[in-house]
Amino acid sequence: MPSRNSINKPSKKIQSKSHAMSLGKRRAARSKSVVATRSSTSRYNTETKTAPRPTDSKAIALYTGSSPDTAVVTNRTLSKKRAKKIARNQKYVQQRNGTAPDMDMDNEVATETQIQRVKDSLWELIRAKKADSSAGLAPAVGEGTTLGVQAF
Amino acid sequence: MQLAVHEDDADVLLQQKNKLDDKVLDKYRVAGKVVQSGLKYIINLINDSYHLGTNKPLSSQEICYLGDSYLARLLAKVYNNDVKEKGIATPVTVEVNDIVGGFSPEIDDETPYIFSVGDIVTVSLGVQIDGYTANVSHTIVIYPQGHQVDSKPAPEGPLVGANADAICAAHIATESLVALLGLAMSPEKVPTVLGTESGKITGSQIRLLVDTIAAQYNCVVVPDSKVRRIRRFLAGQAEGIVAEKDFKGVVWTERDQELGLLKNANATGDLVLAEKSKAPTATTTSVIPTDDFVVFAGEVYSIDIRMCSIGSFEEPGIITLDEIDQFTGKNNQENQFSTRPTIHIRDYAVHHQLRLKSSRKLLGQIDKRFTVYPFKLSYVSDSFPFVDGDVETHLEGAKKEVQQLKLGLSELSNRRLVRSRPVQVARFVPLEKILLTDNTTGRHGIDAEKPVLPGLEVPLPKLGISSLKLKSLLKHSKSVPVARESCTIVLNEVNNDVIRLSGSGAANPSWVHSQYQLTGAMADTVNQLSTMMKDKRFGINIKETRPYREGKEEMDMN
Repeated sequence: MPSRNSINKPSKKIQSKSHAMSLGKRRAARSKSVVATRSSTSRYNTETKTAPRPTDSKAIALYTGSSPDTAVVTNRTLSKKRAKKIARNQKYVQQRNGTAPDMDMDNEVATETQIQRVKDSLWELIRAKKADSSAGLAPAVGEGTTLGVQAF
Repeated sequence: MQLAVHEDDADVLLQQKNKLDDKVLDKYRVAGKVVQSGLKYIINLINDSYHLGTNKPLSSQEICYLGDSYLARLLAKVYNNDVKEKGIATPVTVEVNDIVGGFSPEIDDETPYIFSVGDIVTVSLGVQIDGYTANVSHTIVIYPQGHQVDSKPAPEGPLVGANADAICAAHIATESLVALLGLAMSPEKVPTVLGTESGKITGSQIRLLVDTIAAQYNCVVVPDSKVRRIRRFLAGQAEGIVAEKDFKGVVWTERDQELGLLKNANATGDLVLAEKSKAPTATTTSVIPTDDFVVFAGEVYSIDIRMCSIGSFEEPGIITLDEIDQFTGKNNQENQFSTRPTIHIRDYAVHHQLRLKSSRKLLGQIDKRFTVYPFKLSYVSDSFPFVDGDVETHLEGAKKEVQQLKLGLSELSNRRLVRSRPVQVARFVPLEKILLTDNTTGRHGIDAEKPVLPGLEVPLPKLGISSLKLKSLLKHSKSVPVARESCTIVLNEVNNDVIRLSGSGAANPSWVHSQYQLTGAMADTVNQLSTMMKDKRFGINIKETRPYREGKEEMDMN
């Protein structure tokens, strides 16, 4: 590709790139100040309470719009491959230094997850209902309730 | 996109314009009168068609069109020079049995939506004058014809069974809520059962009251029921499309049913702990609904309660809403109900240069006439509203016009300039199927078609079931009929009274009998509340808005 200084420099490409960049910056700034809606993604609106979308980027160290004042702002993202590689190398370093956590599977304690506890207690409810179909229902008492009058 | 509104303008629009002075109250009152008359008109239409047999049975689409026309005719007579905007705030919807919302078939729909004996039919409508909105919904029963009492046609007996339970629960809950909200002007009179340490009416009291009434009738509060504050132009018409700052209201969702089931299962500890609850605060800036709010005098509230009975189901389960579109069930289930949405609303956050001339013209009309309120295509047609003459020929003409307008609409909705309100039906999903399923994607599967309020996207957070996963379980579900009652009330602090804009007078309950009744402390509470409503000396001064007298609208308006 011709360079920036050459006679046939891709001026249109350069221009559109800088234009896109400035648009992106403006968009990020705008989304930061906007109210959390369903359409605001967590990428641009980090304080949002909306759940992440499947299309949201999962890249590590992605520039999310907020940065500590002292730090240098970067918009470089870490690819999945590179992140894996760093993690793997860290593991080797830990092994060399003898600080690696115990990887033995037998020592793992089977902890019941929160969802499993919820499911277990709800299964109890289903069993109770199967045993007695009126479980959990209010009984018919007294004369009942009548509304309205005999007319259209 | 955020629309730039200066702080001073925001103060005028949100604070000053919502102060209940005489002019504002009058606009609310007139809107209420139109809504009450409209409801009465539609109920009379249904009675004439299905009970008295004085005219041929009208279909849903005809009732919707005639009802809308009636509202438009009444609106044309009021506030002609004083306000910039007025119109229909909720198109007339006529929903049968399990259909919950958004069902207002367009006049060119060929399917004959005729009611049958034993159906419960919910009529909903709303009107705004200068953005001050009054909405109403009421459920009536279709009885068999031919019985007479004192030589007058009358139903042979009351409706009984699950539908009757739902109607009773919805009616009692709504009436009690009117009284409870009315007590915001004198909180010292709040019944002790609801807890009054703070001497205020809070969101959690509202929820407790409705949930207890529902449980005693073996009913479940259908998701999307809500008791919320409304303001000028903010009457919940764009929920799920636009997030509303300072949302104040109680919203029922599937997560409340999940919590209720866990409590029934005697789960303890952190399993049944609701989300961290703060002390009720006067103001909230969040768009996410919480129960931590206080009801104040000088506010306007919309009560919208939908109930369905779960007494007849053999197993526990969750009531959820299913969106119907023209694609659902087209694969192999031919007998499944399918329709396309007909109520649309403009999304002002979207801009697009349109290609078709017809869509540009339509957008211009929509922006000018309907602004932030929902509309139907038939409102845009030249022949709307029906005034007088032969109904049949008028409807034929209207059909053709609507078909032409559809062309322009498709580009608008493809470009998301207008959003359609989905037709929803209530479904019962067995709990067993939910527990057997695995949701590996966690919270990521959000159903984009579902209009939900911000923060409530995940229907079953404790079980980690996302809305898409719940949608996939609908194949195991059964339909449940829903009863709905809604009304709008103004808590007028100047005269210390409650102005009931809609419901009650025009919406007398149909003759139903439930085998259940309120018992225990809640029965006393509800009795106490209804006694307070009867006479202002006992507690609350309720002023009901009456419909215009039949054939004398002109006189009433002057």
